[in-house]
Amino acid sequence: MLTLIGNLKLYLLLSVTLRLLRRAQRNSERVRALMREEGFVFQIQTARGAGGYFELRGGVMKLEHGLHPRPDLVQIWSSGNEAFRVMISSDETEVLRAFELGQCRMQGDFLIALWFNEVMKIARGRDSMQVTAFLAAAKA
Amino acid sequence: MNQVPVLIVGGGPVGLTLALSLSRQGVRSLLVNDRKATTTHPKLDVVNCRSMEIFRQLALAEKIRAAGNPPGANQYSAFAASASGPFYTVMSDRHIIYQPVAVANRAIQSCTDGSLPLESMQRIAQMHLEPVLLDAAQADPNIELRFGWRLYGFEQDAAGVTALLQDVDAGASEQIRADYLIGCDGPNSRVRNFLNIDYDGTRDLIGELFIIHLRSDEIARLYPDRQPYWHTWISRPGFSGLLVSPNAGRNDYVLHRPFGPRVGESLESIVDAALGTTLKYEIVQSGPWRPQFLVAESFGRRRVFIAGDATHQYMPTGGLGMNTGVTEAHNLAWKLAACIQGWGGPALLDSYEAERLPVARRNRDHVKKCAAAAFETNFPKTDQLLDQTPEGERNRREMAQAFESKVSRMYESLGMEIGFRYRGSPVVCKDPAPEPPQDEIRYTPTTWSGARLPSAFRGDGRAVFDLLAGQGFTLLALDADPAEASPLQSAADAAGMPLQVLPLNEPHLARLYEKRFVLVRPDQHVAWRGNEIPQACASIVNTIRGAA
Repeated sequence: MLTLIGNLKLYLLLSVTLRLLRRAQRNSERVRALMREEGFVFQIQTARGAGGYFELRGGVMKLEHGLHPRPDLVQIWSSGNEAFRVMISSDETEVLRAFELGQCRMQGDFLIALWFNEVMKIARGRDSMQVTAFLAAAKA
Repeated sequence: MNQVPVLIVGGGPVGLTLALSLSRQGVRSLLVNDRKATTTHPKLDVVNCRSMEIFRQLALAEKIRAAGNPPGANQYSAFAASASGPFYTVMSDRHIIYQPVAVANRAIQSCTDGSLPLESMQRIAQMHLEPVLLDAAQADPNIELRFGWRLYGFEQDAAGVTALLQDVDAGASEQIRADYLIGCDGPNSRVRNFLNIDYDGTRDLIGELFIIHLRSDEIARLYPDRQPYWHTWISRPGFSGLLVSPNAGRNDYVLHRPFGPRVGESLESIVDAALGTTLKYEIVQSGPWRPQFLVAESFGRRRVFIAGDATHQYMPTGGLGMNTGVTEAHNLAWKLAACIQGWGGPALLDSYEAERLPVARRNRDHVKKCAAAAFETNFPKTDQLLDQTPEGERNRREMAQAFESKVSRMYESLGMEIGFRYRGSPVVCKDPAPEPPQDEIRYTPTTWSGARLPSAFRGDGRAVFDLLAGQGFTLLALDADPAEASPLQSAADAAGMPLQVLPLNEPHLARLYEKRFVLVRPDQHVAWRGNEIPQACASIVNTIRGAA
């Protein structure tokens, strides 16, 4: 049951992330410039295979559920709950702590993670507190 | 009111380099610095090849080497479970950059294809570099230093800049009138803020890292010949970090961690974990810091410019923070001198931003790739890494391969250090030849206009760089009669632009420098090249002095 809830939280987070990202694309010239950069596939999943991937192609970001056969960057989380906890944190260092503790494994091009960090920082922007609060409520 | 040609705000390495470079061009400056002394933190740990070339031009290379890593000591970068080992790999001889300076300089001296810099890099801490630069500035009659003074504010008009300086302790203030004001005042640059110039990047992409400065006479014994490696990257299940020895001849070390102490962790427990054993050491200072990948949107307005950390903030992966600033100061100094001496045209100072901002962005992108590479090196790590099993052995090999293939770009990128070009600069004559390939790692020697002149030696062992004019431009005449240069000399004379003709009648130099005539700027970049000197050279001279 806990695993199921954790996975649902992860799916919710990925969906909200896509919405935030698209809104940022409308409102931020910097995000539009970033979206014009080279495409990639960023897989975010749990060790049991739950999750999805973001695919940037031709300036359009898509979210697909499931596993991509050849992602450019993969984050494999020990659980959906752990992924959710770290990814809603406004402390960028949380992911590094999780990596060191073995709660998150990664493969591929870490530049994509930096790209994502930048877009999400802009996307969360001035109302990052509300976004974080909304997501934290889901955590509870 | 006190008058000075150039007022420099900031007495770190970039501000001091600018003052010394201006003096070499015969220009006086006043440098103010709100701190009363040079830094006591190790900060940077490398003066890269290009900066060393610049310091050689300023007759400081040997003094800096004397204050840094001993010439026979290694500049290795290793990857290990801890400073006690096991070591997955040590990068020691795969590139000139890891070699002791004495060894590297022999390779440089015997290089004939221009593929190596004139100077090898120098492993040194900023706290030991700054006193060398400060001593040189104090001994220079063209430089007035005021440490313990800050810039309070300034206004600029068509003829100059009026600045209000304030004594940090006494509060006394003084007005200064300068032709130009340059802010080398760091990441929180007051000058940049007064100019209302922001950064173009997004802050805090990586978060808050942590740094510990320690001293120990015992750590050296963990390394062969008691000679600590320059960098020991540490990675094992549950721990990662970087132990830096800025100078194998001293007992200062810096330990970087990707985040601050966790609950229950002490500084000592972190140091012990990095060392992999219990040794005596003293923690000097520690604290969090936030790496950035930022470049200023503009490098100045009219008579006020910025340089160094005021124009860019980089994560130190790649060692391009101060080193980018040194090349900025070098670029700016001769242009300021030209304008003060009257031969620089109205567009010359504008070319500072046109040339340097693209380099700052290119360097930022490179540093970001290096940072990503450093993280990626840890990706193959498994819980079996340190097991004495085939799986453990395989994992250690994977880690070593990842390190050598990825992190090596941080050290071996001569394409970044000496391969940057002022492509499309308004003060470089457009080269009709197609641009040669440019790579971040591999340096391609070329005299394509805008590139740094490849370094080479004459048959008698003298470096061509050492023969270039101290002030003004140098025309290299390769197997050519210097008299052919008279139309260019006449045009330069008419514009008041200093020009020296340097005949080089050696086949290997003629091959390397590609054309019979190569016109080199005071900052050692090519401004124009050709096989014939045009009869009408005014357009060349006017372009390169910003008066076209």
